[in-house]
Amino acid sequence: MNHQPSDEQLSALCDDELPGSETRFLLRRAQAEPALAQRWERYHLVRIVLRRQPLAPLAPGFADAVMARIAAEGRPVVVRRWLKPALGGAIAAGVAALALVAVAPRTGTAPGEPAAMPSLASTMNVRTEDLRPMLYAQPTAYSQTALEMPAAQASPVEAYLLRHSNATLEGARGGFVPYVYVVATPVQAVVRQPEPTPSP
Amino acid sequence: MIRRFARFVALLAAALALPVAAADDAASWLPRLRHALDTLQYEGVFVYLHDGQVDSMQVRRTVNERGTREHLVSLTGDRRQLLREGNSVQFLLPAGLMTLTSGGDGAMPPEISGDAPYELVVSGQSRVAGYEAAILDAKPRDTQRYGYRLWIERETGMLLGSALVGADGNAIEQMMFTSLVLKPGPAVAAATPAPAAVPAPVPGEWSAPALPDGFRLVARPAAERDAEHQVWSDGLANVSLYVEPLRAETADWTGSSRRGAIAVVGRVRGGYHVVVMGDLPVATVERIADSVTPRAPQ
Repeated sequence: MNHQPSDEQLSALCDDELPGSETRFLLRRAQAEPALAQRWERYHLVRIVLRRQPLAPLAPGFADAVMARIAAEGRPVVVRRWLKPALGGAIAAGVAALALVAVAPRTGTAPGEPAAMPSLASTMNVRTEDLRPMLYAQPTAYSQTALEMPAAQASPVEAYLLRHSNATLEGARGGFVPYVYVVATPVQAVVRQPEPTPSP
Repeated sequence: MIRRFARFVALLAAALALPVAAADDAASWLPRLRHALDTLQYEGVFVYLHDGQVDSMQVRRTVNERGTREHLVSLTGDRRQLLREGNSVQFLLPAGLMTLTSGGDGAMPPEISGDAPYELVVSGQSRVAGYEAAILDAKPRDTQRYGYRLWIERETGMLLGSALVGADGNAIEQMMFTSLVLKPGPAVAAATPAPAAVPAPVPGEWSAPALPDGFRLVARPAAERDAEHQVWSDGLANVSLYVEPLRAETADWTGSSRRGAIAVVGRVRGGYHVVVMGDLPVATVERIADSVTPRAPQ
């Protein structure tokens, strides 16, 4: 009998709350069963993207494409992170204790190599391992602040707002409340443009 | 009959006494709220009304031996979500992913006490998401900041809803849970000693004399050389002041805008870009931004 894992199990897997043996078992099954892989893809997509994955939207059937690519290549594809200062300092860079970055995979081989902009093609350069939840991985932090996303898509306000919210957690309305501004649908009402100000 | 009458009188007396006791206790609600947000586990859905639109979000907070985990997801519009684990914050938005790691070096904001810029009043009670809530009003003593109405769960102190109210009495924004499951935090969390008090940050190289009375510098997140980020709080409202070397990419990023209750004002000051944002009226934030100046050497 091919017992399908319950939604609760997949949800628990997504939340890293399954025992290790059960986690390994489900992941092995996900590699062998396309239907389960698709369910697992849906459950894990958010967490995967939060942890490791790129900026471009994922195509429907992403899991199928990954499996097909793995089968065609027969070997794992090297996945590296790339960094590219996209706003060129729209956000003041960095700090030892604070980093603002985004990451995406690329196929370059040497540090310092020019980084490619994220694309759908680049999202396919992943191994099955990259789709697994990183149970105890620490988020990548760098010693400088850099907003790593295409400048055309990024708004400096998002980064300022995130830093602002993160710095105001200790207030009376702390907890998750400061982040509501960040997650809410951005509706930015321009009140007025200033008169040109002569430089002092 | 006499016994029933005596019981009725006792209940009536208790009911009449409740508002008085609650009013006397108004100042205790904010610390309880702070404690609840920091220690409880919860999962719920709330609506957020702002800028003429309604967002729905789901929040989940869990605490275990590995630490605290908060997950906030938008259920309407674009997929935007935020995951906070310890001092690591990951924010996924349609344009990409941001990761923010901070040292959690903020000091506690000022308490709302007798001479605070708000008058705290328990104005009533209500039911929110099935919970009995006390309604706490924080009325500003001047027109430079918003008023707050907070719906606070009576037993745990959990925030069930909030509204920011402008000087005209209209709500600038409102947040309200529609469903919520509360669980106590694990015993290990309860037994954890309170963190040591963080000393007040040292004043930075820039000052903003137009900050309204009652604001105190609570954090100066580390920034690169020649850049500065100051965080000011009056106990409820928060203001961030960014001063960064001017770059071509941001030279035209000036003006005033509002996003929900957050006013954002950009200014150019010589070779620097000044950005001030906070949950204050736009006019107040503009005054703050216009007053930003290098601090005179001591």
